[in-house]
Parts: sequence; structure tokens; C-alpha cells
Amino acid sequence: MTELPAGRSGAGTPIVEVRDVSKTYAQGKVIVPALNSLSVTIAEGEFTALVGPSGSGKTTLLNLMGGLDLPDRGSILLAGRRLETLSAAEVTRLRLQHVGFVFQAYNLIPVLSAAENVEYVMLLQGVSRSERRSRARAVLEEVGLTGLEDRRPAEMSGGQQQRVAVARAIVSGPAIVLADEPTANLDSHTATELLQLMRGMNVRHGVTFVFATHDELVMRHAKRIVRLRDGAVVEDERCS
Amino acid sequence: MPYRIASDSRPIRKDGGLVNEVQLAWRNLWRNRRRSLLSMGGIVFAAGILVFMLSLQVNQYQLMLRAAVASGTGYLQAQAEGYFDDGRIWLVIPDPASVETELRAEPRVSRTTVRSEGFSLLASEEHAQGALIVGVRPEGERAITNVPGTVRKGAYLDAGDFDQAVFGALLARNLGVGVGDRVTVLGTARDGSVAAAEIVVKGIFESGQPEFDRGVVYVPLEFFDEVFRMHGAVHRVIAQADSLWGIDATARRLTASLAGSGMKDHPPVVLTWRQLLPGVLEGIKLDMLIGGVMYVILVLVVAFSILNTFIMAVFERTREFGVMMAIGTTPWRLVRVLLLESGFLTLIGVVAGIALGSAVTAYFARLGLYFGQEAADYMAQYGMPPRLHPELSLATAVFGPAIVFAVTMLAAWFPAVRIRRMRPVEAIRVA
Amino acid sequence: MNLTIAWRNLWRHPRRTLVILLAVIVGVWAMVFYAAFIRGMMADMLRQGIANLTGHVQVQAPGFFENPVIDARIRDVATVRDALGSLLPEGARWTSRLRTGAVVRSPHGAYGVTLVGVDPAAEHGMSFLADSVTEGSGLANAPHGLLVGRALLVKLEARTGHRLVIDAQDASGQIVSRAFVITGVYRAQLETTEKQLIFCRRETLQRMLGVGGDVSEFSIVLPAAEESPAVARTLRERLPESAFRVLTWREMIPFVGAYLDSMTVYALIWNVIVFVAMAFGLVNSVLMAVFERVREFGLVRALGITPFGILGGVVLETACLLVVGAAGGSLLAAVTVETLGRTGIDFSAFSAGTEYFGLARIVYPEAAASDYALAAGTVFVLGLLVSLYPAVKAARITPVAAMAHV
Repeated sequence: MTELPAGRSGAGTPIVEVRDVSKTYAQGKVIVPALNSLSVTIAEGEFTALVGPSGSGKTTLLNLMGGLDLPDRGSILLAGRRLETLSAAEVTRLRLQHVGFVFQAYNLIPVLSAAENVEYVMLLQGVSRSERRSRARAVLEEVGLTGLEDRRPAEMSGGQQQRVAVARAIVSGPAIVLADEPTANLDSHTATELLQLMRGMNVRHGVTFVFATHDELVMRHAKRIVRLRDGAVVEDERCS
Repeated sequence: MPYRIASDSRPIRKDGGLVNEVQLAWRNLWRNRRRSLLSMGGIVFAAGILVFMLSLQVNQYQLMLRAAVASGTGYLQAQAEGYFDDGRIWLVIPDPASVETELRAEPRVSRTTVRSEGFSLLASEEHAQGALIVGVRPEGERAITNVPGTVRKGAYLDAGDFDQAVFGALLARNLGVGVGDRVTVLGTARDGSVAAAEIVVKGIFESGQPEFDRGVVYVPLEFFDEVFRMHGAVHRVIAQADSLWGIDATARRLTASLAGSGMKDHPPVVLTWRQLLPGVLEGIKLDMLIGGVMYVILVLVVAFSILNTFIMAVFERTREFGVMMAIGTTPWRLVRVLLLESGFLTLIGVVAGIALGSAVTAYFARLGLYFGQEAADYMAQYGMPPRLHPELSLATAVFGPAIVFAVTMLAAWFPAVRIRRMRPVEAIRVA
Repeated sequence: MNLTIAWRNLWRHPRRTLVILLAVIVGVWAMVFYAAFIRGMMADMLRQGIANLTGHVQVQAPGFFENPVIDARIRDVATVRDALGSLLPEGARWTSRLRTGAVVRSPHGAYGVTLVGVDPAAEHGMSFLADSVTEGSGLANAPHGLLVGRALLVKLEARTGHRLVIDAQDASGQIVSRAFVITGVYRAQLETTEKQLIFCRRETLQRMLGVGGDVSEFSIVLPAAEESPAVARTLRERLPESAFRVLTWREMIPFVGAYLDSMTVYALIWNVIVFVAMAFGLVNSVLMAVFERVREFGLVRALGITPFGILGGVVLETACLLVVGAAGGSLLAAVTVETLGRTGIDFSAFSAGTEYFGLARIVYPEAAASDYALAAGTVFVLGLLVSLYPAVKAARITPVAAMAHV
């Protein structure tokens, strides 16, 4: 494993640049300092895991990268735009075009089928009906869910639901996919399958993935591991 | 290079697939079927009751108005200026024919007749009582008022009668007279001299309204004219119009065109039924007001009652909304979806309520509603029949439910709007 | 202990509980206020009717009520006086009047009125008369004085001090005329009253009509209206039907009586309607509370609580909610009724309308204890009844099914 200076990635254009970012938030009466002057850059094609114990700030960092939240200090560049300078609506639009999300749970809209869940993002983007449908079905096939397109989330297993989430995340060709503990609710076999799927996307199609996780399995599949502790990067290593 | 998936050329199934927010909203509505149905139930109930109650009330009001107007007021009346306030026998319309012509020339007016009145003392063999003597044209009365129809004993006046009279039932009883008996009349004529005559009871009427039954006697106009020395003048020219409403302008127009005629300082003025019977319309408005307050309260209770449904609909799905916002749904879009959901719920409820309310109303429209003998007596005072038949109209079927819709949607607005302030991070963190 | 649990359970979702509580409060308020409003209207009508010379009980000659002519008068005044003097309860007041139809002749025209001969001193506390004289000295020292209603005064274009000639039929059937002087003007609730009734001294009228000491009616005002039937009964026993007719206010103004009777029915119907309106939300709320706690119910069942215990718990929770709601609504209603009961609800803008229906221009709502009881009772009883539906559902939850529930 080659240790790299913090904040620098390997070859490839930077997709997300986190520059000297600090963030605290309030949880009830407690003020939690989540990130502390943190800087990191994610480049195209990466398959990176943000790792650390709970409270280390990895989820907060992921949220900031995706524009779900704004830092108290410092700046975030996403697809070349500085997020602090944008309005809420513009950030939302940016997310729509360039970022895919996979959460630990509750990813899907329960009243929509798998295909419709995937179509939903394209609906927001204004893609035509026929194109929406064909692309949805194609990507569902990619993730190995042919035949389950019209099932509702309640009729699928946890692993299948997460695959649909992945499908939805990548269907519009986002610059980056952010995944927050995607494997936490899955058994190791299903988790491995999911990770292999995502790794495959990364390798074949160059999709950039960033994970917030403390799952060993994810770390084993990652190409780069950024360790966090108490809101700062303590380690940043590449591995194959 | 951003990742791209090539369009697939496989044939697509016609059905299936997400269309738009409307579809999403509709499906969300049925996520919790029992809850949605119960909420709809409240709306159906409120809307249905309003349809029925409004139909009943409108029918009541129409009957009251028609009865009041048909008892002799007419839709429009020409009188000498000042007669309405003072009722002096010498405030007359000297040339009724020209006034009648003028009135009938107005397209909205259909029929006219005339009346003259004077208060007199009536004396039978044993008793005496004061009453209003009204000189009428029998054919005119038959056409415009409902008085001839209320004759219970004997008969109403005819064209050839001279000194015959039709008495109110209570008056006849007080005087102790029946059909065929003679009664003396003693009053003041137009010129101030004494007017005296004898009349024969031809018929006895019973309107149910004590003020008429106790205090009015109808005699032929020619008789009144002679006894009270009217010289062809009358006190009232009564006109029937095509509708109760919107005739104020007509009245004003007619007053203007009659301005130069009649008595020197008291030209004829044309009054509408509303001016002649201010009590009726105001009484109706009062009743409507009180009813309206009650209905609003009812609708409010229903709205609060199902507000919980709307609140829970937002609350339960906070995480889902968070994810949707994360993947790019704007808060406004979410608000729209929620409002559409509430809109569907309310709309279905309102439509079902209209249907149910209309069915119940139609049933009672045929059967009629009876409130008991005493209530019937009370209502007879205002000219209403003992059985009420609610009348369904477009207005009554829609107005109440529309209010229910508006208030309920307003209630739905508040929880929905809170989404605008929701931030994806907080929503997801709720997990 | 159970109560504490039920109470705390209620407040797990404060906002949700508050919303449905609000519905119950508004509902109960509406129930009580409606009853208070109608009661205020009816009380006024009753007071009006009674003050309008009716009194609670009257003694008349047979046939006078249907046909108030001078022939139907009480000739044996002494017997009635004795009866009233000895049989009436403490605090009752009575007076006698002579009443006849008459015609007022003024330079402007003739008008039919009812001429009532009264004893001005005795009318105190009996009818509206004593306290409603707005001008002039009344009838006290004026043997030929006349008390005229304001509306009639305006119509006649007369003033205090003017002369009015009045014609009436005397005991022998002749028309007699007498000149009176207007010595007072009175105001009444309704304009029709003011135009209809003219008052003079009883002795003057008795002389004018040549009836000696006879009167038309004895009017009795009792300390409480409810005593009327009993008093009437006692009087009827003493005063034979051949010569006397004893009437209660219910017989004289039946509409008001009928309305007061039917009030309970109408109030109940309204209460049920309001309840149904809130019932849908109530059931929904309780259902939501039940389904949120499926796992918990399963747990306590596994620990040994019986289905009936679960059912009881849900019903108890609902009961707490209803009690708070009913109390809140009643309190709110009490405040509203108290405030509006003092200032009154002013319908003067609709004065022609109130006149038409014979209603007061200002309504003073008054709530009786039974109104609160009926409202609270309706809500409580029916509310518990509908809560049985979700309660039964809760009771049916088995521990196994509950654990499998998400």
C-alpha cells in the first residue's frame, strides 16, 4: 500500500474537493464537533471508503460531499462548482444531475415498483417516458434484477432493495455515487454480492464510488481508504 | 467520462411505469387504506349533511317568501309617496289605469291588480270590532294572490258582487257571524266624512296567519269606491314579476317614469316586496346566519378531526422524504405531492358526500318531513305548509361540500408546508 | 397504576393527541353553546310572552281566550279574589285587568287596538309595563290617562298630552266613545306589541263599558314557572268550570312550550351530528396509536396480560382523552356563555327580521347544567363505544404475530 499525502488522489480529474472544512451540529442539547479543518479530494474512478468509529464524522463528510449539508467553514467543490455559493435550489439540481445516493435503509419509495423507483430520478430530470422505461429496465438488468422490475420494495429482500438503490443511483450517469453504510443491514454473502456489483460498475464503466462505512467487507473491496478520527483524516492509503 | 447506459432496443410493455406526481400521490393515498377511508368518512358525512340541510332550508325560505308575497304584497307595488309610512286614506293613486299600463309596459311585469283599504269598525248584532276593509278586484286577486284559495266556507268574491264580503275566520268568530249574516261598516272616507254601509258575509277565509284572519275583510272594489268616496282612486297597484330577485332596478325605473303623475306632493312610488316586507328577508338572513355558524363549526370539527391523518402522513414518511430530497426532489415537489394526496382524499369524500346527501334529500323530497302538530301550527303563521320537502338544486348540492373542501384543504396545507423547511440531513437523521 | 399508564400513553405523541383533543374540545363547545343559545332565545320568548301580560297562570271567563269579547268576562270577582288570596304560594303576585278590542280615532285615521284597563300599582313585577314607561307619568294619577306604545304614537303622530278618542263596544252592545289623554309612552320588545296594546286605568274602563266591577282576566306571576301546573290545579279545584277557566302559560302560548320541550330532542340530534363529525378522527387516532404499538402489545401479552386487559387499556386511554376534551370544551363554553351571556349577542342589524319572528333583538345565551351533562355524556358514551373498534383490534394481537410485525 502506498501512503499518499492527505488530500491527494491518484490519476484522474477531481470530482469532489473538500477544502479545509469544519462542521459542528447540535444533537438535542449536545453540540457535536463533527469535522475539524478537514481536506480531501476524490478523483474520477475512485472506489474509496471513508472509515472510522462512530462519531468520527464520516457520515457528515459524505453528506457534505453530496451537498446535503453545508460546512460551517471551508468549502466544497462538486463537479467544479463551489457549493457554498449556490442556492438551495441550485444545490438540489446539482445533486440531481451529478450525484447518486445509496443509504443504509429506506432508499426506495414504497409505493413504486423497482423499475418505477429507478425511473423516478429520470422523471425529475425530465427524461421522456419511453427513454425512462428502457433505461430503467436496462440498468436493472445490469444489477441482476431482471424479472423483478414490477415488484414493490416490500416484496423484495434487503439485498434486492439495495441493488435497486444502486441501479437508481447510477442510471443517469452521475459523476459520483455516495453510499452511507449500504451493507450494514445485509448478511455477509449479500453484502459481498452488492460490493462486487458496485466494484464491477467502477471497473467497467468508471463510476466513482465513495462509501462511509465501518464494515470490513467494504474496506476489503476499496481501492482507497481514508481513515477519520475525531473529525480529521488520520490515514489515507491506497490499496488494490 | 460520465458513465452512460446505452438505450435499450427491447420492446417496452405498454402499461406500467411511472407517469408523474399524480400517480405517486394517488398510490400514497392508499398506503393505509383504513386510515384514508375513515378520513373520507368524516368528509362524506359533513358534505352529505350540508347538502340535506341546505336543501331543506332553501325550500323553507322559498315557501316563506312566496307565502308572504302571495298574501297580497305582490312583487312590486305602486303607492302614493308616504302611504307606506302613514297609511292615510287620502294618500291615493288617483289614476290607477295609467299606472297599471305603465307597470305592464315593463317586460318583467306579468300581471297587475289594484286594492284600496280603510280601517273601519265592524258591528254585528252582538259584537263590534275594528278591522281593515280591503276593496279588491276578484279576478285580479285570483291571478296574483293566494287569498281566494284560502276560503273555507261560502265562496270568494265574483265580478258581479257588490256588497258581499269575505271575512277572516277569527274575525267572523269574534263578531259571531256566518255566511249570509249582515255586518255594519263604519269608517272614515277619503274626504274625511263618515263612511257607513252594510255588507253581507259571502265567504270566510283561513290563511293560518292571525293578522289576516283576525283583521281583514275583502269587499269588491266598486263597493269600497262608493262607500269610501274614492272617486276611482286606489291605494295600491300590485304587480307580479317574473322573479323575486333583481327587481330593484325595475322598481326604480318605474318610480322615475311615474314621477310627474298622481297627487301633487305624493306621486306614485314603486316599492319592491323587500321594502314592503323587510322582516321576511331579514328574518331569512338571520336564520341563514345562525345556520351558517353552526355549519362552519361542524366543518371545523371534521377538519380538526382528520387533521391528524394529514399530519401523520407527513410524519411517518420523514425518512422517505429525506431520501427523495437527497436524490434531487425539490421540497416544493414534495409539497405538491402531499397536497395532491390530500386533494384526492377530500375530493373523493366530497363527491361521495354530495351523492349521499343528494340521495337522502331526494328521498325526503318525495316523502316530506313532518315536525309535529305544534311545529306545523307555528309554521302556518308564516305561511308554510305542515310538511316540508327539501329541494335539491345545483347550489344546495355544491355549496356546502365546497366549503368542506376548502376548509379541509386549508387544514392539509399546514402539515404539507412544513416540508418546505425540512432539510434532507435532518430528515435522514431521523432514522 | 393503569390510569397512569393510560395517561402517559396518551402523551407519547403530544402533537397528535393535541390535534384530536382540539377536535373534541371544539365539538363539546359547539354542543353546549348551541344549547345555551337556543335556551337563551327561548327564555327570552318565554319571558316576553309572560311579561306580555300573560303571566304564568290566568283566570278568565270560559270562552274568553278563544274570543276576547266583553261578554266573556268574570262577573264574580270576589270568589276569585278569595281563591287567589288563600291558595297562592309565597311570593306570587297577581292583578286583574279588563281587556277589549277598540278603535282609536285620531285626526289621521282609525286604528284597531286592544284597550287594557290595569291597576298600575299592581303591574309592578308582573309585566313589562311598570318598567317600560319612557315618557310621561304613566297612569298613576290620571283617571283618563292613556299609556301608548311608542310605535303607535309615531303612527298617530301624537305626543304626550294629546287627546285620543277611543271607541269600544260596551256591555249592552252599544258603541261608546271616550276621550283620553296620553299621559305616558311605553316601549316593548316588539313593535307589534307597541302598536297593539293601549293601557288605561281599570276603573275608568269599567265605567266606560258599564261592567261594574267585572274584569276580563286575573293574571298571576309565580316565583318559578315550574309551579304553574300545580297552582293551576289548585285553583281549578276551587273555581268551578262553569264560571271560570284557569290557564297556564303553556296553554296560552303553546309554541314556546312546545319548543322548549323539543329543545332536548334537537340538542341531542345536534350533539350526535357533531359527535359523528369528530368520531372519524377519533377512531383514526386511536387506530394509529394501536398500530404503532403492535410489538409492545405483543410483548405485554407474552408477559401475561389478557386480551381483555389490552382492550381495557385502549378504552381507558380513550376515556382519558375524552374526559380532558369534554372538560376543556365545557370550560371554553362556560367562558363563552358567561361573557356573551352578559353582553348579549346583538342582532340589531337584523331588527326587522327578529321582529318578524317575534324574537329578541339581543340574545343572552344561558347554559343549564343539563346542557353540559348532555354534551359530555354524548361525547363520552359514544366515544367509548367507537373506541371499542380499535380496542378489539388491539386485543386480537397475538405475541407471535406482533413480533413478526415490522
